[in-house]
Amino acid sequence: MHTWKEHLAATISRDEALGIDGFETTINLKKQGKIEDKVFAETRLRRGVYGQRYDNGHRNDGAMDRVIPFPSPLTKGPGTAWDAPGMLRIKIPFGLLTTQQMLELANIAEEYSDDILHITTRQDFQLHYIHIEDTPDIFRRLAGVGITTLEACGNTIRNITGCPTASVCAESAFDVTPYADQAFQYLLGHPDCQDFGRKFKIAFSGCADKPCGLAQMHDIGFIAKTVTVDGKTQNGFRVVVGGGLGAVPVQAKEFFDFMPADDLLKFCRATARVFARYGEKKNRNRARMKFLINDWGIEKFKETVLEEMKTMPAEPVGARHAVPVLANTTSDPSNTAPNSLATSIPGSAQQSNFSNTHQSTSVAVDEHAHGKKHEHGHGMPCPYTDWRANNVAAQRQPGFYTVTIALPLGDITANQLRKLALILPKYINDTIRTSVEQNLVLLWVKESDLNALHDDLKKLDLHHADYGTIMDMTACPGTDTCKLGISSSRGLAAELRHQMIDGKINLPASAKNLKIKMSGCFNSCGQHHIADIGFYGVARKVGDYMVPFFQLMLGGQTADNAGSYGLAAMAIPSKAVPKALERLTKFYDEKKEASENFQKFVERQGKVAIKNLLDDLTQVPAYDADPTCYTDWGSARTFSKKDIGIGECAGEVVSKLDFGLAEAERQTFAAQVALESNDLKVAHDKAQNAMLSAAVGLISERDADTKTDYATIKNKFQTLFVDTQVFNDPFAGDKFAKFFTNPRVFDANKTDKAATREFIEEAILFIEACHAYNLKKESVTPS
Amino acid sequence: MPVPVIQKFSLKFPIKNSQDVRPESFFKIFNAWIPSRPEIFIDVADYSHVTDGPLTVLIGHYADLVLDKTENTVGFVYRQKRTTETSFEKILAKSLKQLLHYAKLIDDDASITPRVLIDKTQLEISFNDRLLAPNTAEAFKVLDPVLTKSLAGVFGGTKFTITPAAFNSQTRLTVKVVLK
Repeated sequence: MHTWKEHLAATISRDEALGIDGFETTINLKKQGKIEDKVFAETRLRRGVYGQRYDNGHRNDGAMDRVIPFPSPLTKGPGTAWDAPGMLRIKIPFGLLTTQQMLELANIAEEYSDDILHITTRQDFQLHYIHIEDTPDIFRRLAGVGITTLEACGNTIRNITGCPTASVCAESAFDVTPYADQAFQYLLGHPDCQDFGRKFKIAFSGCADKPCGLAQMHDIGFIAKTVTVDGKTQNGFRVVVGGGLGAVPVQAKEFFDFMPADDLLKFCRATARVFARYGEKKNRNRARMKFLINDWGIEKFKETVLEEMKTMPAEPVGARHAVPVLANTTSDPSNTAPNSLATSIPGSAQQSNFSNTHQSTSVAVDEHAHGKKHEHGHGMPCPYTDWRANNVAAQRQPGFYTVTIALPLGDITANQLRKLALILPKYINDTIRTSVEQNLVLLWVKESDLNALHDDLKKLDLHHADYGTIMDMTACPGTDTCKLGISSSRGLAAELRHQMIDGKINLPASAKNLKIKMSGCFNSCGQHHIADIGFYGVARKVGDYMVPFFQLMLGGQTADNAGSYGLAAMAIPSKAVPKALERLTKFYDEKKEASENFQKFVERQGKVAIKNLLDDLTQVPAYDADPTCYTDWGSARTFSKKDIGIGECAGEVVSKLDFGLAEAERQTFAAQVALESNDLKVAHDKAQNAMLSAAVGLISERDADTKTDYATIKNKFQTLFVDTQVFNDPFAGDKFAKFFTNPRVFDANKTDKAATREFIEEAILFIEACHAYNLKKESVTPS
Repeated sequence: MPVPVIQKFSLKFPIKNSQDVRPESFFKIFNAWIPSRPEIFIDVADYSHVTDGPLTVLIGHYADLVLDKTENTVGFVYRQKRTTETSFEKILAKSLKQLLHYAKLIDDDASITPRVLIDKTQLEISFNDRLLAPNTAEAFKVLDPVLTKSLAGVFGGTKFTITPAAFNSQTRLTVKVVLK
């Protein structure tokens, strides 16, 4: 077997295999110039294939802009070079991973990427430097272990996030995992979720207070809640809608104080339909659902969604999106997990001496990172007691613990992930979770196993005792790989981490549990709004040069499901941020009132005090005096903004008609391939499906709820386009329409290759007529 | 059995004085190579915060260059990714020459202090293609003659031995080459 397609044919479901084959055909058609850039870009985005920095074929080396001489002249989107390496976002719904999936992810990172797997703030994995032509085989290998990248990017419902510890945490009302799974299965590829103007994010939280779900910053946030009715406990959710970060951060507003869990899918579908119908499509900066709710007010939005819940058409019986069975996806290896809440409270029993934790003695690569001191791994101390205090929490089920593996910058190597997958069966059942804090979480570890687990993790250098501490920072990719990044968020996070480890930043013990989050730009992929101390990248001009700065954000919080957002305080040069952090934490330590948290402290002190504290740091020496200030962290080049490209976060708005026509092209191509192989029946069916796809596209513009079977579409097409003569060709009349409404019938005894070929040609003519109708329609539509 | 046209593999020379190696030195050199070398290099990635993998990567179109610390062995890696060549023997020979070329550039770079000592007598070849080169004795048996021929072509009269690492379904097919 010389292809993954052959090798995995028996492993992948038919639907999944057809979808991937279809994407591969789309790639081939794009190479032949038969699909326009915009359609191809949105098609690949919906498969998780994302652009990456420098994919416009240019890179500024600090002195001048240089062309990257990619071999292929083709493009894979507007201004996006075909050969430019890209990012692949791999959806991990609610972060649930099996060891088998971990092993395959490691293999894929090793073979197609650069050995690094990055966990995102939506519990996804991201691989970088992927070539577009490798993606079909990657999809097949992922599908072989039950992973999809479908709808990981683009104007779709993105990965549904969920609290990883809801099944074991004493504060959770109940385990949200089965509900998140139900929503994921139901909404993936749902026809009502294919026509959004922007992305749509859903989160499930097990409780109101803890930061694992961050429900308040989502388009829909579900917060687990129970009520007692007639003595029976009923599961449901407090539901909030219209939250989001980005340039215009908005806290979600309450939709239901309590919604029975039975209404979950109906509510999701109705909300998606309302957003698809009324959400902004043209102005990308106002296309998220938060703007619709802001424009309408929450009451009108609620009325509209509630009405939609009553009046929307039922799902067709037997449809792919029939309500999935509620699955139980959590596991207890010992089968002894109690179903009711236990009284044990999770948390660390021991306190570490934070100020004394970070000691180091060695340098250079053999002692690990960056030629700098580092206390992790390689024989350096990282005591069990610290790890136990910070990374281990008691479950509500007595005798069991959750263990968090803190990953620096959310990164893990392929080898680490593989080795981790191989040791896990010693300690837990088959599953592990990713978290929105870019870490890995193990559930159901027995107390008696904690020592041995720590030893095993230490061998993999995955025993960092950082979880929940100020060192456990969140950073988006920033200028490392993102087309929109202004300053280096990962570079800054890495530098702060190194300086903390080296003791170059002297942090007081009171700073131990502060949260730092940073983004490379205002779009907040690093969630800088919901940190005690947030940063986002900006640039300032000093003399003739650009200087990397970070805007300092203060007063946000992850607690209460991201219950408050920080505000910008002042912009600080990138190279001055470590000093600013040191001063801020010292200021807090010295001036805080007893038990005053950081948000309250900042509020009480006010911006003037903060500005006075840090004002001198905003001064940038002249270039000649200190050129290092003009180079960002993690960069060897003089800073510039010239590498910023056009982001793909917003996806491309592509109509259902455009998608239908693209699908039709793909089907006719497949028909021709089948004809060449003398597979006449397949060729005939594909030609007919091609016409059906084009017709569905046309009709969906008039009737979004249309069924897509041939009989329905044929009748609607006849009524809407043939009887009204709007589809008629000026010379051929309704000839092309009849190719679809009165198609040739395949007869195994009579239909020969010539007849099949003619049928394919008729299908092509019908599709061309659909294109012509589309152009005619656009030419008479007022702009 | 025909020899598959394997395009994806990594060639690694260990670095003798690994205790002296600074990832930031490689970061600077790799950045300088992007505009100055004829190959298509795109960007440099810094992964010095993780263990058991790459530390600094010069991302290329056809191949990457890596300061690597996989399996706790610091080394210089040429990671072959794609090519227009159509025989594995030629792809391997060309890649080996590129590895030697870039290793010499590192050797000769006076900006690296202390100098990096790349051990060119120990070569590790890892196949990043579990379909065409699974980690089995059978796959090694098919590849062994081609490896021998290709290595002999590049290293001339230098004697060498080729030994496969443990066959294991989880890891990549890897062979150790010792030049004498």
